[in-house]
Amino acid sequence: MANDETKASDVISGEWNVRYNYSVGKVAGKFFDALKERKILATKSSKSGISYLPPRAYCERSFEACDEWVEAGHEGVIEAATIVSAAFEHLPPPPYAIAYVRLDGIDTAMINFVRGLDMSDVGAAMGKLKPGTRVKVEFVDKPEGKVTDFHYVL
Amino acid sequence: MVPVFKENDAYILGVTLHEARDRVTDKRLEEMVYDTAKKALDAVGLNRRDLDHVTIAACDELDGRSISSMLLAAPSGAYLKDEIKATDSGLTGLCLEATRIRSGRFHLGLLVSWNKSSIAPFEDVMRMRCEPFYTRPIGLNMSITDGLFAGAMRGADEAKASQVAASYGQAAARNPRGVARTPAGADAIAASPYVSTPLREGHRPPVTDGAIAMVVVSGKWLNDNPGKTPMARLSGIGWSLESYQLGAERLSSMSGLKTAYSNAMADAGLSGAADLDVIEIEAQTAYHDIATREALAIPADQIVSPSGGPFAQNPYFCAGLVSAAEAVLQVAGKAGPVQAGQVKTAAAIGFHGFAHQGTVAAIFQEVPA
Repeated sequence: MANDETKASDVISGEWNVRYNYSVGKVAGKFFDALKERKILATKSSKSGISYLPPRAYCERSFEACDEWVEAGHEGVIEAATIVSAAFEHLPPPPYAIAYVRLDGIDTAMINFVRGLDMSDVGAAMGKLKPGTRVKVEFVDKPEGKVTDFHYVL
Repeated sequence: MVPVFKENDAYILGVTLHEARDRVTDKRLEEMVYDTAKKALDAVGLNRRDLDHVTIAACDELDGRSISSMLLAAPSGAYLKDEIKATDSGLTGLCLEATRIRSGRFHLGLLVSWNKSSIAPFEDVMRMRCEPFYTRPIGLNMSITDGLFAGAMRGADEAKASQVAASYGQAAARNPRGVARTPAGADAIAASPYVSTPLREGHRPPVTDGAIAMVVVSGKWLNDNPGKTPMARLSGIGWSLESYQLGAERLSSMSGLKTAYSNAMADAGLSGAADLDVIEIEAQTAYHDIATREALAIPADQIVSPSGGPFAQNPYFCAGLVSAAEAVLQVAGKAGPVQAGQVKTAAAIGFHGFAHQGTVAAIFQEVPA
């Protein structure tokens, strides 16, 4: 028989803290190593002609291994962007901008932060991030081989 | 006696929704699921022994335990029954259930789905869906990807989104199966804070707690049980997945929706929105309503989401299946204050994944007396 006097405060809290060690693999490893040299490397399939950024070991269309490396340009075009204005647990304090950008010479768009925007008026800042807007890549002073070694700027 | 129903067709015999609340505090999840499944069977005069299968649709991350079906199969009525689980969405569970019935191997099943959204920060759970190398360090969740989607949409503006959200809120306020709320006006929604531009707080419904159970039977079972009357025939179902890459084309094309919908309509032998009396859209944002209407060329006078969709209740994982339940209720003439007149055919459209990567469409048609 259920207890009809259960109180709203009757909860049992639980939390998981699990550490995963993901294997980087050769493709992502080469990408991250190149970031330390301020290079953004994509993979390409000679079979399909498609270049992938982030790099993939295989071509999703042809299902053949990507067999070329190509260096992405340090400029590109915004495909989609947003300014995150709400606070979410374990994400940066708002507001901040992110965008999927298709870098010159590459067929796919890659997400990263957009820095250097005046966020005092979020609506106005968003107006500067319309799809089709050209942006540049900017590297941090000391790249460490992480995806946040670079970001986009207008 | 001449069989009335096609043997392998799927029919909805009964639908039960758990009471919608922002937070169910007086039951653990297993109790919510048991209450819903039991009530669904009682409502159609059947018991658990009658079932030849159970289909579960649930999300381990949102339930807060791995292999959530281990503990939740039994309260779903599946103890020592043939049981299978869908993990994309509640409405995906209906796809699985339909294929089970149509296979000819199963004839009386219970489809059960749930989401006690309140047990953890919803968006923090969704953040786990990011792959770890390239997107997790930046951070994505449902709100952020919906913001990217809304920003990439062509021909939608914030004012229109605010009006759509207001209309959903007004419909939801009339739905007795929704969480009781005072609907916000378009001006208030337009002034609500941004979540992820151009998506504002008022453009999306809050997540709520809920559960749903559907009793699904084959035509053969109905022929063998002439005393039972189905609420609707599941005459068509379709599904589609789009690319994970959130580029401009992916975000603006709604190609998955078009594929799922056209497959479901073809399955039902229907040709266009004019053949539907009602369309229930699981609009997780107002922009989803706008994009769906445009992609499917839904006429302006079409009755869309009279239930208020997720703005009435939004147990996120099973919200699409709740929309399907509302469509079934419309066809059965049992939608209560939100009944849209005489409804012969209704569609339900649901989404799942970042920026609606997955879409399911289901068509329900009346069963002539």
